[in-house]
Amino acid sequence: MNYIMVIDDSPTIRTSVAFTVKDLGCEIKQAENGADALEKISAIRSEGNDVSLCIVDVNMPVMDGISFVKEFKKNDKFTPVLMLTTESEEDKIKEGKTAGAAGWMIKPFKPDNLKSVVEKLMV
Amino acid sequence: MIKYRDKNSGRNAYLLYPGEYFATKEDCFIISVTGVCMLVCLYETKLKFGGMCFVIVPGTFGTENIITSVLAGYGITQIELLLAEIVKAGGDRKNLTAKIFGAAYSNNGRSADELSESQIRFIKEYFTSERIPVLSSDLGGSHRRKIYFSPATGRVYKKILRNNNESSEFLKMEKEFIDDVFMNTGSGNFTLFERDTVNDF
Amino acid sequence: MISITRNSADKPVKIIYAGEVFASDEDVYVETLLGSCIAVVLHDSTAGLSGMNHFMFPGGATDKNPRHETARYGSDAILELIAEMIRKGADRNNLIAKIFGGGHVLKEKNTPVMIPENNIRLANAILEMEDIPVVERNVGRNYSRKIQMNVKTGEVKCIMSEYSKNDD
Ligand SMILES: [Mg+2]
Repeated sequence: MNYIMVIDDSPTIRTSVAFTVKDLGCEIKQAENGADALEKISAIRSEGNDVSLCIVDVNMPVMDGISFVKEFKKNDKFTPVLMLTTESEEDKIKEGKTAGAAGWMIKPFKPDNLKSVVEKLMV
Repeated sequence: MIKYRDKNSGRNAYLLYPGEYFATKEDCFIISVTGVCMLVCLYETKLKFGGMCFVIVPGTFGTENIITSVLAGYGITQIELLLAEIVKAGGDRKNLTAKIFGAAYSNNGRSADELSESQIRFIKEYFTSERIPVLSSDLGGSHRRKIYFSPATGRVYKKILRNNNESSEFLKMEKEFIDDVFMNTGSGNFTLFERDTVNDF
Repeated sequence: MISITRNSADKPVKIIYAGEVFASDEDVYVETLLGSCIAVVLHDSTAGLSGMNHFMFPGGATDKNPRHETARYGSDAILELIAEMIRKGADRNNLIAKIFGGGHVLKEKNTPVMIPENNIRLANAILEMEDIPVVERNVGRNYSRKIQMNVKTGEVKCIMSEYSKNDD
């Protein structure tokens, strides 16, 4: 079983993103911050399942999205991470790229865009 | 945003124009006037600070819910921008309480209209979905409201405005804001980084 | 502020400059000259009181800007004018406002284009926020203005002169 991780501190946005990507052949797992996501990912993997993609917010309490990518990428260079955030500044985007993110999308997302980007990244 | 000294309290005051948002740990006032838009005041009860933002869903979203409505996404993002400032300052949405004002009738205040009802439905669904308690709200009706928010205490002082109905600068700025949201070009934009960069890491 | 006697005027004339705030019930005229600057006039007809300011910038004074210059900044200049009117005996609920200036005056070469527009916007916004009805506006376009206020009646004469590129 493969999972898409949807990581955002907003329950509304998590639900909305999950709804948008629900038919792409993966299970959806939601997490409310970076630390919560890392825990859930290792639980998924310890059960013999895997994560195909992470969709991650930047501004979250406990562990923000950039810190999450850095941590996640330590043990996994290949699973793509898509940042989905209100942040649109060049410097922030570079920071995400350097941390190892595969892409950067600015909120509010358009469902068709998000779906096609997710499909592209999971190939 | 215009910063000035509030003579009565001796504190700084920050006047927001429609479309702006601001969060701060300073003991000050955040002030604005709302007509058809809404003003959302968020207060972090643990860290005792807060912020205020303008919110508009630029149209009516019928029977759709806020999860699937693209229009609602604009409103959600306006609040997200304020929430991001609160989170950057160490806040957590689990500690937030909200107060909301505005969504006055747009047809010269004569009767309830679709835009006003749509805003009210949006904001209620949103805060239910976010599990953020709304401590007070004053929505709909036919008046512009002046809102003073004290981000250090979470208190709100409210005044109904009676004059300048015909020439309201705030209604004019709200209209510009709504047009801006409609024309919003940045939203949904995306960049895919080169794969090598990821592998180079 | 300076006071002058003008033969053509039937009462004494006071002239105010950028950064000043004036309120009084004296039987005089108050004048000022406006390019991109704004003058807000307040009047309480019951008390026979009028006031005028003259500000340059659309902001409020910040930490960078010395306090004694605050009245050059719109929000402080308007709020100070309201406070001064009340100190002189005006009733807040009787106040009416007029706004003049904010011209795109090409001669002021160092004025960023948006300053006059932002000044007009700020004057409208602050007076609306303070819920004082604005009964007259003569603002914007490429005019410089000379205004003369009759303190007793609150009447304002506004003489406009057009700037064209040739004046530069
Ligand atoms: Mg967030």
